[in-house]
Amino acid sequence: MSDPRPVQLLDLFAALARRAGAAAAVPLHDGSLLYRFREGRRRVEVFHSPWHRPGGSVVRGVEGCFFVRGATDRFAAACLRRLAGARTRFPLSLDPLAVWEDADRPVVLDADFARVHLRRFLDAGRTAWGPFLFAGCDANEDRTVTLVFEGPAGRVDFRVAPSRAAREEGWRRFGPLAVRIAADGRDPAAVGSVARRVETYVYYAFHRAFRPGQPLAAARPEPAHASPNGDVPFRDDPDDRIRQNLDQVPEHAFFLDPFLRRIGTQETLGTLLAADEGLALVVHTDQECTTKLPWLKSCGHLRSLFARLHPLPTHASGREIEWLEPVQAQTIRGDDTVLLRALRRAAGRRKTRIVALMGTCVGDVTGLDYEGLAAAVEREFGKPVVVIGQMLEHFVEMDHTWELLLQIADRRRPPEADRINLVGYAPAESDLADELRGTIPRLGLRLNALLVPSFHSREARDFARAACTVLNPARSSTFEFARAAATFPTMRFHRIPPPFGKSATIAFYRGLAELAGAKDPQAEAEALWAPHEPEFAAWQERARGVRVCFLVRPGDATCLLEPEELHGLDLLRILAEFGFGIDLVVLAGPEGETARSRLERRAAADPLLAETVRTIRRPVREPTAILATLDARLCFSEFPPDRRALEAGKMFFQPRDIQPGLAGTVRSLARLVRLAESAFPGTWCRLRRAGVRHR
Amino acid sequence: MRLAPKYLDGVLLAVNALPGVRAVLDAPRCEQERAWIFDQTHDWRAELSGAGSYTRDRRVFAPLWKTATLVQGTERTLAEMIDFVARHHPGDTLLVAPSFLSLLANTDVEGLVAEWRKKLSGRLVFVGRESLDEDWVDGIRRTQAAVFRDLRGPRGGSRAPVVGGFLPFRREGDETGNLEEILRLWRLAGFPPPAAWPFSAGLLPDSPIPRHTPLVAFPIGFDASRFAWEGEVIEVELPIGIDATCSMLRRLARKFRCTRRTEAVIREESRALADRIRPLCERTLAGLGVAVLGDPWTADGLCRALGELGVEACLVGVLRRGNAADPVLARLDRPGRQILLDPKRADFERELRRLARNRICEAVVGSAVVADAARQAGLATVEISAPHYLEHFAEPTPYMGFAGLARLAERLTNAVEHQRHLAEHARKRSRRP
Repeated sequence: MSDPRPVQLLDLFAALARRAGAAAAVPLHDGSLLYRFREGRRRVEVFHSPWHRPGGSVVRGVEGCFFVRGATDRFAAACLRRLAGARTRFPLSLDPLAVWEDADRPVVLDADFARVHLRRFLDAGRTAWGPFLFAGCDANEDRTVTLVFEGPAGRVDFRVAPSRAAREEGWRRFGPLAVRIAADGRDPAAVGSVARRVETYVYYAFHRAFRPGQPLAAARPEPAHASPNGDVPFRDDPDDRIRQNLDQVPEHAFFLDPFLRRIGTQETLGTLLAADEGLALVVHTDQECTTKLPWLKSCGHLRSLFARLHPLPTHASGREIEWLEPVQAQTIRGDDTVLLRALRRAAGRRKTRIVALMGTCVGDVTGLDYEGLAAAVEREFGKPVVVIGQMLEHFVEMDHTWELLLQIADRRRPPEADRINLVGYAPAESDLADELRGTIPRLGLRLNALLVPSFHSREARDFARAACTVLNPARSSTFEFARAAATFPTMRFHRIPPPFGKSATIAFYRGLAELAGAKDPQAEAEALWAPHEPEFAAWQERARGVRVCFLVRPGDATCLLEPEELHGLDLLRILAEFGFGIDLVVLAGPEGETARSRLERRAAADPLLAETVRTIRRPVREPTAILATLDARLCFSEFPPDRRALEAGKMFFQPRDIQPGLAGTVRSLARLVRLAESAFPGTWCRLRRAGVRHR
Repeated sequence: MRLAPKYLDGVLLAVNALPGVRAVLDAPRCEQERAWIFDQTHDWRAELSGAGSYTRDRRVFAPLWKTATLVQGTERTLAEMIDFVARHHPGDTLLVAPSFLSLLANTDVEGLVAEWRKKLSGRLVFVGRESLDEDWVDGIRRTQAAVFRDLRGPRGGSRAPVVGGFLPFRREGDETGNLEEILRLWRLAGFPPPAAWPFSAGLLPDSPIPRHTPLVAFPIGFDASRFAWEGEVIEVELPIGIDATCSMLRRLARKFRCTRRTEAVIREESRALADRIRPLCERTLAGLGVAVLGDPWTADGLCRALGELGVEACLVGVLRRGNAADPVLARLDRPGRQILLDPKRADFERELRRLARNRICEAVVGSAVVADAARQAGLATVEISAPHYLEHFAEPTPYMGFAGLARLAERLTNAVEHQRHLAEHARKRSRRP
């Protein structure tokens, strides 16, 4: 379940500072960010302005410019390098480093003002600056809004008005808006500390959210239909609610909605099903609950297809699993005797180390006390019995599931230096897992546990034997293991991006070699890659001259800019290394400009991408018509089989076509080349055209 | 886990076989995901969940429920969903079905549908349900009864019959093949072409259903107590095996008065069939032991058909929550044969492994739900459609009618011989130093 505590914005900046190796990162009221470093005993300050200013130093790959104060040249250069490389993930879709992300959208001063225009900086009820919780945004009758911060230290109200209408003293101006403190309940003696100066953050956020000349509008457009740009609708409309629930995809979407990337019920059960005999599973369902269907081989559905890159683990035959489907009479009576008997049977088996009881909505409706039953059996047998609930909104997320499963870890075991755990990279039965079992010993390490999505009770028990754990930094994997990781406070955790594509694979093995203390990690990683290079080069030759295209709505740009959002796949880099040319078609209403410029900056910052990526802006019209104008032969889509691509004479490819690891990289390249060279789309279009003429 | 599919599976099978219909389930959103599973395991060409951008061709809808929805009643979310689907698919008929939780929450689905039928000028069909224990056959039967009740056209009275009660067709290999074979025999025997065959996956006209015409009723989806039919009802057997096919043809021939022609067809077809199956039975099939898994009527038909080929069904799994006094089940029961009614997966697998170990059984014929377990036990498998597919055949692979029996015999022979060869080869290889 999600953490009910608000996100502390001060902590986010502290995390950012740690990431950059700085002592602190402080937002300033002019929208720039101050990093404090130490060079020996000297104090060094680096100001990062998100906009170019006279006299500022420019660093490739970073927006804006820097001003350094108090450092030697060498140290300054090192600071800037670190800042350029520092990236961090923020919860709740926050991104206090964002600059004018929604600055093309007309500003409307209504109750949705903060939710729409300040979404990267504030979230009502869920973000706090020091003791001040951002309580929400109230619309006033005079076409102004009030942002309310409140907490034990008092209440602070900010009035936001159109700049034209703010004539009195005390207003600060940000693009088309003016802001001032309307009510201040703070103790004046304490206002001086950073944690109390909430206005600094508010002004910082306004600078980064609104640009000069941004238009003001009287009202928002009615969200009767989903915008082709994939924007979040503004109001709670039954149709919009239904569309989200249906997984209905807007006409121009080729990337999944973030909601669909969530790990769902089927993945949870998949993990439990694929476990070994140490985990005794009891599933209590109604007779037609979908939860119990994944045992079917090849079974898939939207979320299981996309939440993970690899197929769902399915039922390992031969293991005792208790499936309880109470009949009508038992359901209505709320009879728990069968369930209790099943739990006892499961816990009583000699090999059982942990019992997982998976409940479903039926228990929720009839009021079965799963927790009580589990506690009783746990007391009786002395083995942990955990409840993995899957009930309407009482949904136990995967992070909590892993926390529960890792209860069996023996934390008293001393860590051994040469053992490592890998978390979130591959199922235990997969090509990458086999590869890792072969390559890791060659690097001088021992694979202690390979967890997420697979669970093996012996590996879970021995988890603490490893001196360090390597975590997949992709958002889904990180989220999935975050709570479990927190229960191992002394363990070292490293994040190495997953091995998708040539350079990422080499970097992955280099990372492992560094952990093993190798003298020349790069050489060791390259030695592992060397046998695959000839075949890779041969396929690469065939890929040259072939173009691949992406249809990108402004909201989708994140997937290409931040690989962590897309299972750790850096698609642009992978395809460029493969030898393909890349066309990025940004569907551009007025809001596409920012996305296009961000994509262009990303491409310009990387010499390889600069050669291969072409960014094209196209007006929003039928996707097939847009695709038909491109000379690309492959089109990316997360909705295979995608007929929009086929109708335009292109073959589609999906994230699952990119496989991890050394051999996986070569296989991926071969697969993409074969798809690109496939004559099928042309044949299909020709046949269809002939069919139309014939009719 | 029990192997018999559930009520909603039956409803989805029926919806899949009616191309112009969309289903709204009064069920939590996750039941909508059943459509994804359906597309993967039931019918690759179905697209109940839609393809591409899922906007135009999605055919199964279910609202998002929260605990509050259940507590306050799900009528409002259901009404919103009906309204949404009706607006976005104005030409289509909507089928509304309650789920397990819907019954538990006492949602008045029928009342709501009656209200909305007036607004949607009859485009709404309510599929009833009385008990939480109803299974997939009930789902199919209730959907068929509802469609025959609500989508009947104003005209009728012709000689051409309407066909109902058949297992809802899918466009996969064996079912397309079955339909083709039945129509071939139908044509050869000179019966009037069906005026409508609802649930034929769009292969034959499915609406409007004319009134006062003869109804040819097959047993799976036809329940006399639920079908209120004005015309004559001709109940026929599923044409699996020689006797059952002949029985079906003769019954229809008497009705349509083409007895002599039908007898000629039976003679001709029997001769051709005998030539095709003789070598297979002589060499491989005679004396073979198999396990059969399916709905009661298919399982019964298969047991009898296999018996005609000299194959003994030593284990029968019946995918139905029924009582053992049912005449079909009583017919299945015979000495030396084990019947598992509504089996649990683990029980069926255990029994399969035991039979395989004792070399009593060499193959499994029937639904694919245990195909993986059968393979692990070293048994040959012949997939017979409902409810699931693992191997999606692109070619017609019928098992009904004369050609269907021949095809079944060929498939079984292929599978058994292949498995024997593998076993022999594996033994040789293991002996190698």
